[in-house]
Amino acid sequence: MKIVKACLKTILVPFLMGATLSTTSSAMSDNIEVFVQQAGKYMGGATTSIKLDANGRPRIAFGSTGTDSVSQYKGSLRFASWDGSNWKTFFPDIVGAAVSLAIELC
Amino acid sequence: MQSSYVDPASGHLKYAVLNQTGWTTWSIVTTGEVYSINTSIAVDASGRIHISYYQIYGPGCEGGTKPATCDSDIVNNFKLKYITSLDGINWSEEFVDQDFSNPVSNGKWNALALTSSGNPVVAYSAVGQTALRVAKRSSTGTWTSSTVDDNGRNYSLWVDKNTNTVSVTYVRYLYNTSTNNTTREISFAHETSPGVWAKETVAVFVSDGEVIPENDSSFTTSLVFDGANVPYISFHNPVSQSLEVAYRNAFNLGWGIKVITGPNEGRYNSMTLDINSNPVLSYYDETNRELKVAYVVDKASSWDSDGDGIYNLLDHCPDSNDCDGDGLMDPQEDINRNGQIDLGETDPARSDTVSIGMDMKDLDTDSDGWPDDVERFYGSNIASLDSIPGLPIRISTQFKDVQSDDLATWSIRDDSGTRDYPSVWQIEDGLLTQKSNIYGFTIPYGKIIQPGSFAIAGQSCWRDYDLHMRFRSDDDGVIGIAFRYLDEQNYYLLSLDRNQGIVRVVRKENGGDTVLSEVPYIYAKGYYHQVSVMVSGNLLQIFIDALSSIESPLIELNDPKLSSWSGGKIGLYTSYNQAVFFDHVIVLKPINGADSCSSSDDGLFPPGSQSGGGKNISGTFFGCGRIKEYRDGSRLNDDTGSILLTMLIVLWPVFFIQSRQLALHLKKYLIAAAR
Repeated sequence: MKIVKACLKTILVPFLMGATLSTTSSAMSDNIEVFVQQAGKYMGGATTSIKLDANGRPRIAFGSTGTDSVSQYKGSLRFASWDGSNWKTFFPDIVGAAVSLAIELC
Repeated sequence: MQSSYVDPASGHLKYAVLNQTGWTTWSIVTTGEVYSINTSIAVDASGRIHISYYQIYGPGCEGGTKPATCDSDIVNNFKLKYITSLDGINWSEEFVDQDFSNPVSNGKWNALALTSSGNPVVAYSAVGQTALRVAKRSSTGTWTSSTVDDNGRNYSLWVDKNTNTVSVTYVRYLYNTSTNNTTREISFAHETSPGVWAKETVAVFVSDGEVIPENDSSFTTSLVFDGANVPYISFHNPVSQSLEVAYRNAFNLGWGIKVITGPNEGRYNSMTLDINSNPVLSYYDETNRELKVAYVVDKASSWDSDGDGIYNLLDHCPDSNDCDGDGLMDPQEDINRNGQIDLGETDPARSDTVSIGMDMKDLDTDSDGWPDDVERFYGSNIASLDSIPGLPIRISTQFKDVQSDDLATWSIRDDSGTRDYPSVWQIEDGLLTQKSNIYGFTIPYGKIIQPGSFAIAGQSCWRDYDLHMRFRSDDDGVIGIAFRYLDEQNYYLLSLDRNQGIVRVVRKENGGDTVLSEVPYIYAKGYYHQVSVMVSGNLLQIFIDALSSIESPLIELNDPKLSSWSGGKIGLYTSYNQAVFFDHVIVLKPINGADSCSSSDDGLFPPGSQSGGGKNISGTFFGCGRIKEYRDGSRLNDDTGSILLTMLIVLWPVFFIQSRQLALHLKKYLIAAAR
């Protein structure tokens, strides 16, 4: 398992046009830090879909597109959730691709 | 949590629900053949489910060989559809785009979002799957659509819940035949009035050759707005191959971009914002084939209450920089400050001075060769050279012996079909380690036990045993203990899967896997855990970090197959775990324990012989018909012949004395009889 600490930089892209979007706030400062977690293994090329639950903890659905070059990766559908200390991965005994995820917030 | 997905085998759209108690529903929601690349789901405030998908063929034409009439069905074929349900059981579906003229196809790529009143909005590909359109459904069920751009793929859609303003990100693909390169433009558009779109280019990338959008589905974008109505866009940079986040700068001066990862990370990205409007992203790490999550924290905001450098949302104790009070500051334990216990880290929320922990590796207070935790388990005095537990010994190994053939008493077996093959088992620093990431897949094979590697010891004639093992894992893969192991097709396995957060007992019989028990449990990385497996007759008991055998087991079950099997060896098991350490493997024959061994080859070592003089029992293996013993580093016996010879030498004086006494008795008897 490798931990990634990203090198950060800021690039300004020329403004083209805008309409009713915010004109008063800057989304991010230049002083950011990235914290990276490994949330799941055994992953082939796969769709991911992330949402936060009511506690602000990530939940992710991910599944192979079915086109991965490694046959074992094809068609697996999984869910991963962060409980505040650990990532749990659910491996339903199904195959799936084109995953989309929705979480109802309580 | 609800999910729509496509079963690539059948081409069916399916729907899944996961709640606190696990999976509750799996339903097929349509019978037509669905494109297996793209679907999108949303759930509104009332719980109604909304899904968009691309239907290749209509009902009755899914899978395999199709009737000739299927190809001419211009109404159903290659169309974007929308399906909705309130209960997940009864579904109603509609066409989104009402253009049914031949050969129009639309919707191969689609993204769905909801307005504040729960009405769906769908962004989709149209006009030969090239243009980007957005369709809105009114509360009366009428769909209206407008074209955003004549060129667009890889959509992400956002609907403002206050104003219902629709925004979309997408990628424009422009291939230049004369220069043979492809320009990809990360684009953003929002609807300023019904059907009128303001478009912006966020970033431009030029790469060699022609990039076919059809084959570029991993190049996803994700659009979210924060509470101040500032848009954020995540995308994968096709030139640097890194994950990046674009955001609108202050006063509309343009777009700022933050590079989030290094190369070969960031495909299939998805983004959301946390309560502090900091982006949280999921994405694919191509190098390690892992799912990663990145928390992008703006340090200009209030992000670290206790000043320990750990983001509040990832900090076990946001208001303390020594969460467990063990004297080690949290950043000293969670070195990369990501809230996870990674390789080489300790748990900031768990004291390192507790009884089960790093310091426990060699804990043998009375130096009698019995680990303290095993002594406690049997109620023995850890400070006294007593003989515990008074049971015959099958195996007792501390892996202290560094002689090259110490591992020879274990046979290594790697499952077929594994990746990162072969396994790497070795004795190192008084521990048996396995350092390969060797792993395999249960899908599509339909197995439960994940392929991995086994170190096997013991004899097939052993039936009942108390098996004690200590392990530490610095990775978060699977470790386990096999018991009643007959061969690779027949055994029991106790597996501890940190990723799934479960402990599971599975019986493999003739190659088929049957789950006997499954309970939630997450082992602590970097810490020693004591595992005890007690098998007697039909009864199986599993203890983890138990202080006494009279505690309630973590798992207790009866399986008739346990007693019907003739016996089996024991094994240590790993899968997708490149940093696992085993120690103190002890196998005892329980009171009234059964065997199918013949009396001459039970290979048992007498109870009490362990503790003599506090000798180290390191590297000792006792098996049926074969004894290999290393005691205090000196090799004594190696095979059955040596055993018999040793027995002859040791017992000769006894036999000699007994024989002389018998002869004397016989002589006295004969003399008396003669008188």
